[in-house]
Amino acid sequence: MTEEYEFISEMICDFEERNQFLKKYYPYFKIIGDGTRTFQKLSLEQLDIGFILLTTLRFLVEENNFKNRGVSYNEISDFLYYLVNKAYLIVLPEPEKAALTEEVISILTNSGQPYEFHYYDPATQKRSISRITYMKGEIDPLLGSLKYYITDSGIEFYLETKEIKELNKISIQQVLLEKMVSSKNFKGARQVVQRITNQVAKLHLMKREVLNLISFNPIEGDKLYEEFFSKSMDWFDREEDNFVNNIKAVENAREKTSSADGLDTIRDINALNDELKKASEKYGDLLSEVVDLKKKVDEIRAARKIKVLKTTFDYRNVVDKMIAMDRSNDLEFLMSPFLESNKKKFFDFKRIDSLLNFRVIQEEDMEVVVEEDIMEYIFDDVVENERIKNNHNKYIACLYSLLNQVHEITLKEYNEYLESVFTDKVFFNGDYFSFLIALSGKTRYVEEELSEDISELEESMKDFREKTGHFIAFEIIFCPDESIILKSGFQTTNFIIRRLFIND
Amino acid sequence: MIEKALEIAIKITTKLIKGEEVSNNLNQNLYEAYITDSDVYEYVGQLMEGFELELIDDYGDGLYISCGVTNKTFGYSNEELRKKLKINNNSELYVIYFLMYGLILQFYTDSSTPTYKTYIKRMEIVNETDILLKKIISDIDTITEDEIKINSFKNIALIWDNMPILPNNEWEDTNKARAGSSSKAAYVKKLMQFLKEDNLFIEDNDMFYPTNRFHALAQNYFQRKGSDIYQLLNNEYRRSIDA
Repeated sequence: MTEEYEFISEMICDFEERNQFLKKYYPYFKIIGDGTRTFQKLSLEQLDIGFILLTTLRFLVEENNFKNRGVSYNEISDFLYYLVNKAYLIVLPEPEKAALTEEVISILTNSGQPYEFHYYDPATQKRSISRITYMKGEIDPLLGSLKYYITDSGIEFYLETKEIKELNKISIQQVLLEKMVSSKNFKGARQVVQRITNQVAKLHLMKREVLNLISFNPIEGDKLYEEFFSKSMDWFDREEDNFVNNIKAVENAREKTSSADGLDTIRDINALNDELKKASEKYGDLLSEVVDLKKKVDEIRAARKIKVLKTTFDYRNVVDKMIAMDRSNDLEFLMSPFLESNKKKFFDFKRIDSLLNFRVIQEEDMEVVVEEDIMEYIFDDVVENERIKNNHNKYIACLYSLLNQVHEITLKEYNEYLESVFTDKVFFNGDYFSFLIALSGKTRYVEEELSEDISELEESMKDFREKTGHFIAFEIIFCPDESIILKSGFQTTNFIIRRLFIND
Repeated sequence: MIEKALEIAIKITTKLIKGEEVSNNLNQNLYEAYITDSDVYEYVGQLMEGFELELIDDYGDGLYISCGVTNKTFGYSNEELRKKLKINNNSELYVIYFLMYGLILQFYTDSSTPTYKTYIKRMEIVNETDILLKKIISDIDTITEDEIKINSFKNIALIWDNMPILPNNEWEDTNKARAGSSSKAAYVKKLMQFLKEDNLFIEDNDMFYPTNRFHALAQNYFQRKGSDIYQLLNNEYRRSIDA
C-alpha cells in the first residue's frame, strides 16, 4: 500500500509550487464569481466584467510594456469608453464612463490591497497566504501624477488566459523578462527564461509532430507545416533582437552590480545569464531544425506525388474532407455502397425485356436533408438541479407552514408532517437528505444576516419572501444527544427549529 | 442458345439482387457461365446497367453487387434506412454512418491497403470511434446554443460524447448490451446486427469477421467508383454554398 501511493510525498512537496501557479487565477474568479456578476455602479447588465478586465489588462501590456509608459486615469477611461462602444455598441454618458473607470481601477488594484489567497502548505505545515494584484498605481516622479502599471502577476495571468500560440507566448515572456531585469527581480527573471526554454523545447516537439503528421495525413500535415513554418520564420526575425537585447540588459545589470548589492544578487544575475545563454543556444538549434524540416517536407511531398499516380480511394482523406465541410450526411456515400439491395421495393420482373432494350435515364435526385438548428441543448445536470430545487421548495413550504402555526418544532415533528403530506416515500428520496444537509449548514436564517454568497436554499427562501411578502427567520438548535431513525433506516441527529421575530 | 444465356443471366442477376451469393463455391455452374460464356457476361452487364447496379467480378471467385450511392430502385432513402435500423432520426443515422466509417478503417486505410486484421470486437469499435471523434469532441468542450447543426460532425460527436459506454445499470458485460441508442455499446450492437443481416460480417464468439462481400466492396467498389464519390462530394459542397 505504501509503495502504491508514493506520489503523496511528491504532492506534499509540490503543493506550494502548485499554489504558486494557481494563485494568479484567484483574483479573477473572486472578481467575476460565477460569471453572472455585473458592475455595481452601472445599470448596464450586458457589460461582462471578465471581458472588460481582460481587455484592460491587454491595454496595459500594450502601453506599459510595448510602449514603455504608465497609463493615467483619463487614458483608462478613454480606453474603456472606446471598448464599450466597439464591443457593445453603447455610447457611455459621462457619469457612466466615470463610474465604469472607477470600478475597473478599483477591481484591478483591489483598492490598493492585494487579493489574498490562503492555503495550508503540508510540507512546512504552515498556513500560507499568497498576495496578488493585477495592476498597481505609481506616482510619476516628473509629473507628480498617478500612473497605472500591470504587475508581473497580471502579465502572467493574462498570458495563461488563452492557449496563445507558442510563438507569441515567448514574445510576451521576453517582454516580461525585460520588465523583471529592469526592476532587478533577477530570480523572477530566471524563472521566465526557464519558461522560454520550455516553450522553445515545445516547439522542438511540435516540429517532430509536423513531421509525423505529414507522413500519414498529408492534408492536415501540410496545413500544420505551413502554419508552423510561416510563423516560426516570422518569429525568428523578431526574437533574434529580443534575445540580443535581453542578453545586453543582463550584461548591463552585471556591470552595474557592486559588492553592496550582496552576494545573492550577483549569484542570481550570473545564474540568469547562464540560463539566458542556454535558451539562446536552444533557440539556435531550433532555427537549424526548422530549415532541416523544410528539406524533409519537400522530400515527402515529392514521394507523395509518385504515389498519387496509383489510384486508390483513401477513406480517411475523404472523411477528413467531409469533416472540413462539416457535412456528416455525406457519410452516406461511404455507407450506401455496402448496403444490400432494398428488396422491399416493388419491381415487376416481367419488365426485364423492356429493360434490356431501353436504358434508364441516369438522373437521380438525392434526398434533401434539411439543416435544422438545434436551438437549445439542456444538459442532464440542469434538469437534475431543477428537480432538486423544486423538491427543496416543497420542503421549505412545509417548514414555513408549520412555523406559521407553532413557532417551534423539532426535526421529528417536521418529519411527521412531511410524511403526512408526501407519505413515507419522502425518506427514501435523496433530495430530502440533501435538503437536511443544506439546512443544517447554518444555525440562523435571517434575511438581514445573509451574506453575498447565499446558498441555493437561501435563494429559495428569498423566492418565498418575494411571493409572500415576508421572510420567515428561524434558528436551528442541535440536540446532539437525541437521534432519530428514519423509515429508510438512516439515522440523524434531532434538532429544534425555532422561529425568530427579528423586526417585532 | 441466346435464350439460354439470357435465362442464366437473369438467374444470376436475381440471385445477386436477392442478396444470395454467386460464387465458384456455392453455385459453380452459374459462376462459370458468367466467366466463360460471353453472352451471359454481356447480358448480366446490361441488366446491371439497367438496374444501375455495380457488379464486382474481380474479387476472388465470386460476384457481388452494390447499389452505389444514388440508386433509386434498389437503394434506401434515409427514411427507409431509419426503419430498417429501427432508429428515430437522422442524427442517430449519422452516428451509425460514422461508426461504419470507423469500422472500415479497422480493415482498410485505403481501398488498396488492407490492415490484415481478421476480426473485430464490439468494444474495439467503441474505442476506435472515441479516438476518431476525440478532436471534434475537444472542439465542443464549450458550445453555444445555436452552434450545432443536425448534419454536422459536431452533432455526431455531441451525441456520442453524451452517451455512457454501457446502458444504465449494466456495468460489466459489454456483450449483453441491447441494441439501441442509449449507449455506445448499444449503437455498435445495432450496427453489427445490421451488417450481419446484410452479409457484410459474420459473428463467431463475439468476434466479427468481414465477409468476402465486405472486402469486395471495400476494395474494388471504392477503387473503381472513388472518383465519382469525390465528384459527388464536391457537387454537394458547391450546392450547399450556393444555397
